Amino acid sequence: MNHEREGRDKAIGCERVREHLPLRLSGVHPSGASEVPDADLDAHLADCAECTDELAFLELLSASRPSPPAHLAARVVARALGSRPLASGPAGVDDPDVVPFRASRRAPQWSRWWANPAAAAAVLVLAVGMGLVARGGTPGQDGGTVLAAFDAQSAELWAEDWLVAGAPYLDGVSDETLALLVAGIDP
Amino acid sequence: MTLTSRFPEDDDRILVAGARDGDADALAELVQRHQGVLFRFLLARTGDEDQAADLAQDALVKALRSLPQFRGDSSFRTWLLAIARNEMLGRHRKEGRRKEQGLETGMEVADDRPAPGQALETQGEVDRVRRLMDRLPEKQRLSVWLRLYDGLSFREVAEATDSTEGAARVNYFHGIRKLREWADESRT
Repeated sequence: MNHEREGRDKAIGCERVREHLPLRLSGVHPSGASEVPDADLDAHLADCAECTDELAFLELLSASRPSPPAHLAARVVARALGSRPLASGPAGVDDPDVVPFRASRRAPQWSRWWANPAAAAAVLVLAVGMGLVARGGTPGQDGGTVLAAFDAQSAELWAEDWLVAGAPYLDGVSDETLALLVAGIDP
Repeated sequence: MTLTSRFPEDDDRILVAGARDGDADALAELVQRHQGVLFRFLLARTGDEDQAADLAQDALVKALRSLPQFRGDSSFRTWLLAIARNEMLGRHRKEGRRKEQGLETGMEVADDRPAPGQALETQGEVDRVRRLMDRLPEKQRLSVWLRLYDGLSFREVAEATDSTEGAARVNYFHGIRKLREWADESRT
């Protein structure tokens, strides 16, 4: 009778433990009342070869976990920021189309430069630099003069046309988010 | 890259509120936090990485745009998975119509490509396991993936797979049992 009871308790214990092993592997810590606390899980595993074996098998399965493409987050954030202005930005920027992940359906990159703030910034620098040369920058001009003229002209551009490089959208955005957006640039 | 410094790890409500108010960092963190489970959910259902990534992109953007409509009755993750499921069904309906009209759909058949980024020495074993996973019936595969890869509760698994909590639990255990049997068979 006692053996029967013991066996039944152990079976229930194993089932509950096995139900919770995936949470351990995915780094989710139990918080609900119905969940098995970490300490109880460890105590059971120390005593139960079958559940330890199950954990090893689940670890093997976990190693096959697929990851999303590296640029997925950057593209989503760029699209979302492009269509949902921050508090400081004006409304109404058109939403770019989906940038498909299938290479054969990919839009030409040149047509989308403006949708990517970092790429747009690079184009802006290039355009302003070319403008300086066209407006009288001379070979003899010193670096300080050129830089001062560049700063003045680029400030004017940012102020006049918020769309250029999406400047207002990036106000107050952290370095991490900017890095995420830059990560979305195709090499 | 992790963006967790400003935000509590297990609570999406602050992120949702921030993103709704136009906080770009909160929005980026929400995307970072949930892109993985969304991509895997769609991959488990479509069997195609490109298609899963396209659908995940659309579903995430749609969810972020619809944040003002998110009432918080369910978790943000559950809500996102429901949007992804609708997005996928909508895409399938469109593709079905195109097929009926005799047009090229552009959809690809699932393949056995290995998951990228795995350590070389375990790649063979990982490939083998992935192929075994692909043999599971869809609901069992989804239950195993969502529970094992992303730690969803059985209630969340049930909502994502349009089944009951009990069925999600049974599907998970049956899936794991079959995988173990197949793994043992392939070793002998």
